[in-house]
Amino acid sequence: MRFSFTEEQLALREGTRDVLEAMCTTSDLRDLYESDNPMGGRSAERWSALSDLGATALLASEEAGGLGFGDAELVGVLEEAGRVALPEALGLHAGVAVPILGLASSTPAGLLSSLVEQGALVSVGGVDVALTGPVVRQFDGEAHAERVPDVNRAHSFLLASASDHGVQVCLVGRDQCTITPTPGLDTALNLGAVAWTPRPENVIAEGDDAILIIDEIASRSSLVSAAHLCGVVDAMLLRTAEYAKDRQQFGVPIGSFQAVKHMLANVRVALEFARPAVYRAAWSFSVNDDARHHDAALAKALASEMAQDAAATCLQVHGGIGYTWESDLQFYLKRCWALATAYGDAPMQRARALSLGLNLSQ
Amino acid sequence: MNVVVCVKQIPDPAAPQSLEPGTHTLDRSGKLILDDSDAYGVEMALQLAEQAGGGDVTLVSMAPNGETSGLRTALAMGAASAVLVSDDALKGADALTTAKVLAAAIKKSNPDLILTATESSDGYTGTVPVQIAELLGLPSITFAKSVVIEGGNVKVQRQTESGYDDVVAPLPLLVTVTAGVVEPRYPSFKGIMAAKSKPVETVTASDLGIATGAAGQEITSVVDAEARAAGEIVVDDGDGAQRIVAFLEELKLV
Repeated sequence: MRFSFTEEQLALREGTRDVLEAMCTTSDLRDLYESDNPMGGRSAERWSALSDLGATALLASEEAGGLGFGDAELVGVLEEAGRVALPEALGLHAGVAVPILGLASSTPAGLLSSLVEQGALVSVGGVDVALTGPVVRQFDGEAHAERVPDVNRAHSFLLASASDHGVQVCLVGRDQCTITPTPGLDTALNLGAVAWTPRPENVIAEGDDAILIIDEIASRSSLVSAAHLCGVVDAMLLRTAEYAKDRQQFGVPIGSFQAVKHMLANVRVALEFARPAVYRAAWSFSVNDDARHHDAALAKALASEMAQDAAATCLQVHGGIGYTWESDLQFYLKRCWALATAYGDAPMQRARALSLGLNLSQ
Repeated sequence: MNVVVCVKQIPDPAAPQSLEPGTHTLDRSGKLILDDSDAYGVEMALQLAEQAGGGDVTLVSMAPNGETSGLRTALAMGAASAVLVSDDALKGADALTTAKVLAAAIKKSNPDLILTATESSDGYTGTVPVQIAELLGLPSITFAKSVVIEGGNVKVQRQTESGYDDVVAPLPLLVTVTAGVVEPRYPSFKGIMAAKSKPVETVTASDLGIATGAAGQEITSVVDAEARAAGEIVVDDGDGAQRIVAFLEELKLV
């Protein structure tokens, strides 16, 4: 049995890295952070480069204009997105919305291929594994999803909601939504509240179908954020190790002190323990394994915990400079803090993994 | 229109590099990547072939150990096929030997146009392209910042120190392109996947009828670069600005 990525999968990852290292530099991120415009920087250009690359439609079938690949290919691409702290919601679009639209039986024919053709970004909201109920409630026929990423760039939204008549998953165009930007810790994520009125023509799934799809959305969101976190921590750790080799104290680099070395080594160990769980979850989705929900929960639990610890360590190693606006460390710290708690934090995901694991073993 | 692009696969410039102790040549035993400066030639070739309404872009490369990683990158960009000359007997080959090998490999494709970079990013001799042209008995135009095909002619804007010259020459010929000529595309996922199945013909020097012997050139010694000397401090006696302008003029920067 083979436990490593194929040459092909590694080549896709490398191809993504080449594009993102050029198109999403720390100075691009700084432009975005320092701009009043949430679409600042080279956002549109970057999304179309990802679309030209094929990253946005990696999981769409070839008939729909995609590449017909699986999550085992996507996971490396998403890790690369994390390594540059990509602001665009590539994970939610390519790893959640696209496969769900391909999966849902009520998706109108040609819808996915038209979205792929346009290079349109679909963001996802209304489902949060961290909520006690799986989806947001409708009130007076209107639903209201909080903290939906990339609201300004999204062409449409995949949204779940529940009413007294049952649950529904809809694909709603941005012109049919009321979008209110929400202040967030990581402003690059461009969060917003989305209010919409579920209409029959927008429904992708309802009833039992919708419940299954909502479960897929929850687990897929966990997986893509876990993959992103692995990439963020990888880059943050490299940057911090470089800093520790450069920054002098008592006449020597601080990285020469064992206490500093050990802290950074512990982060590397935690990252290398989280990664296989993330890769396993990706594989489980790619073969539609029954354990995929459990695996995604475990992956997110490990990744969230690892990212929180990594952020604390990297900030400490940087010392005072790490707290400043001028330091680029902030892009990675904020992403860690935001994604470690979004889509279920570590304790919540552990509980989910436990209950799903018990079900599997019965 | 058939275009051949000469591409070099070089050790990753971002990785630490070393010289081989005996020959003082670059250690090329590790993984090699496509020389960045060659991506411009590949892109130019793809665009010219597209504009001409068809034709193949063929890559020609010489590298040790049957190395194809760099070629795969260029194939992923869209080139149709590649010829790789890989032969232990060519280890440490000098510029002229390299030119003879590449010229022989290029001849097999009988191209309308040959594109190369102005020089490689690891050897920097900058002599191989014109040697190839000479060996093939073709005209050559160097330092192209723009290449346009019109009828049977190539119109080139040739970069000079003060601007550019317009140069026209008939096909077939060899053109060396600068980094400004076009913006290379990124290989798409489809391109990366397709590159795996594109043909790469690996040949040896003897397949090409090239006699391999002792290289005409050898590196006798290598010394460390001199430490940078201290700069000149200009004390501004009211003429500071003029002296800076004079200095920049001397460097032909203004």
